Amino acid sequence: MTKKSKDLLVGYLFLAPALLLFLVFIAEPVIASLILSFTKYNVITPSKFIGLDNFKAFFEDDRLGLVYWNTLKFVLILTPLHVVLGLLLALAVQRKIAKGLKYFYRTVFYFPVLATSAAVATAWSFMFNKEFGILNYFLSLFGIEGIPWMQSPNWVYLAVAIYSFWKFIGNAFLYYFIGLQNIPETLYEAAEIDGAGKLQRFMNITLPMLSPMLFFVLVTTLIGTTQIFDEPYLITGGGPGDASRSVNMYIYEIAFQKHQMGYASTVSISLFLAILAITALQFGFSKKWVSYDQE
Amino acid sequence: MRKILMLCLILVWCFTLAACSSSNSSNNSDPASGTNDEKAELTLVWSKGDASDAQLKDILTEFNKLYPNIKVNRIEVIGSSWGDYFNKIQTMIAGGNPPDVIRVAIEGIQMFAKQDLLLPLDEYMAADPDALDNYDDIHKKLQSPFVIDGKTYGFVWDWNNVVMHFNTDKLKEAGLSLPPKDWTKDDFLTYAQKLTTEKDGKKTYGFAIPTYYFGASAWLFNNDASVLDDAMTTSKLDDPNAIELMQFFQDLIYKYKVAPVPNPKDDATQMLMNGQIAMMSAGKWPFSTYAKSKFTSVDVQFLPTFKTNKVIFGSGAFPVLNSTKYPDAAYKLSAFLGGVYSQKTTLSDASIPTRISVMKEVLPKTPASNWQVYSDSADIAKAVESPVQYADVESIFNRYMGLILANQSDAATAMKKAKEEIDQVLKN
Repeated sequence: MTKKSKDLLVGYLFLAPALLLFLVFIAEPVIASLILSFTKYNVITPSKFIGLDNFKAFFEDDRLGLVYWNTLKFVLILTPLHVVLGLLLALAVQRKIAKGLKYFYRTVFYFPVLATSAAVATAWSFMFNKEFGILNYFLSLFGIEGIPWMQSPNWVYLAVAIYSFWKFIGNAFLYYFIGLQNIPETLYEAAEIDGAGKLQRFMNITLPMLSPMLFFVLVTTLIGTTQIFDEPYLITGGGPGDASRSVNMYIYEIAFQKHQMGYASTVSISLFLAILAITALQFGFSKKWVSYDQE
Repeated sequence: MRKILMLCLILVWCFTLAACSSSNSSNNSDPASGTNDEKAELTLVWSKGDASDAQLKDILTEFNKLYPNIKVNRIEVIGSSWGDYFNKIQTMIAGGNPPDVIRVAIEGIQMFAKQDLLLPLDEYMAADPDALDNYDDIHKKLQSPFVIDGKTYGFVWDWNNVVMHFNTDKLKEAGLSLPPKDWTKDDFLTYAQKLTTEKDGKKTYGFAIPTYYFGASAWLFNNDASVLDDAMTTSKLDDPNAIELMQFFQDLIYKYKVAPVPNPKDDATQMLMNGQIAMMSAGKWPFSTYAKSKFTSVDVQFLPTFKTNKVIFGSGAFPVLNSTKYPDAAYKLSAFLGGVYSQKTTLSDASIPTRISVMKEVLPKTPASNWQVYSDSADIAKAVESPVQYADVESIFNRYMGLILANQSDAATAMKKAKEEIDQVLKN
């Protein structure tokens, strides 16, 4: 065995676990979905090739437009919420405050991420109760009467956004907080000596230095919100009617309630392509504002 | 070299996939071959809500006195509705890990049987009738949903109807007594209005609308309507009687203001106990919660007569999956779980027993003065409509009912759309 072959062997051996996981849990399901989208398959009886029937059904499906529109609304509400407010929270905790207080805030902001989604969603669901919920009780003290959090197709988005913010803001906060820690203090000191104000330091040091992390949070949040499932599933059940049903919830319904795996795969592919396009666009634009030069 | 390494990786991958799939064991399906000495290990799907660990241990101890070599392991499958529960079991089967014996309500029996997933038990009944512990003791009408096309797929264990539950403290406060058996729609509305109160900022609503298929179907039956026709081949939700009932439900919230707007996670039993509502319609199952909470201010009555008065029923049994490696042992377990000992152990304060002897013994102990509404309706009750496509039908019905109750659609429009979707599902 030549040295080159040995190096290759070692390289492949190191790669093997990750490659195996990729093949089994990512490549294989993606290929299987693609194949299944041309079949009729109910998981109990063998699959049957039906050509393009699932794609024809996709374009004739009355509910798809609404669930895609709902998902877009979730993306437009939740992405800025997580990306901007996560940064503001991280900046607030990064300030020169007592170390103990910093630990306290970090724990408080990240704790909901660790809590069991189903349990806390149930609690939030009771809080959102129109008649007996604590939120409406407090609002009634200010003369605001009975907000239909779960019954109105408009309010339902706010209910999901409040829960999502409380539950998952800790993730964005933590990424930003780590990113802020990595910005050398000397840069701020030098800028301060040069007479730069707080806003100038933020615009010319913090934002450019944090841009890779901002980009990471933006991409992961956008992908996450496009695939949103837990929040509406646990809080609203997709209701009223289909008002808060996301594409992923709809795929779950087709696959695991109707057992139409072929059609569910077709819808999954459409969502996959949508996310791929959005992510590609983000990477394209990122060249204009993300700086990887950390010197 | 690269090709060899890639080949190795592919082989490892194939091996992994093969290891994940289940092995198809040979099926010993000869009913005559079963003996009490047969060694078997069975998987039973039964929730702790139906039978606690202590109750199941008690039942299995008794079972093992008869069949010492049959070991039973419980798997709990939690579903947000019957449809959701059945879907999860189907996913287990599709995943290559089918259990042996499953708790199935009437809502799912057609779906499992028509997909050829269940073992017909008639041959085993003929070969070992003693395991049935007096088959004639089972109420025939309640057993009938588990006999499909002349084949027996289980032995009915529990059943429920839907009656009205009253918080008797609230009745007293409003100066009302338990309504008579033949109370009407007008009487019901009067009760709901008188029971809707607000004292010291604490609101009590007269009634909570049942937002689930079984509960709503009971009210549809009483208005001479139903979700499906008798043959279960088309939906009847566009029938004027069905629309009238759904519009009445909407009016109870937004016009008469005697019912709270339903929320997805509402627990009507809890709301009745803490006085947030004064009436709700349910089966006998809330009595288990009443007992745990030591709540005794409750009584029951038939639902009010609207256009007619029909009582709905749903029942459950323990069918055996035809993929079981131990069909004889599984039959014995299925029969025992539907038997007298099992019913006496598990159905003292939850669902209604289906054995006539146990019903007579257990029902009088129900802590409600009008407990006879449970036993009186067994002979006249009509089964909840449960086609093969039950999970789909339930999901569509709940979605459109949700729109009506959220005041996002009038009943006629929503029910017409629901009918169209259900008909489409029933066609496939």
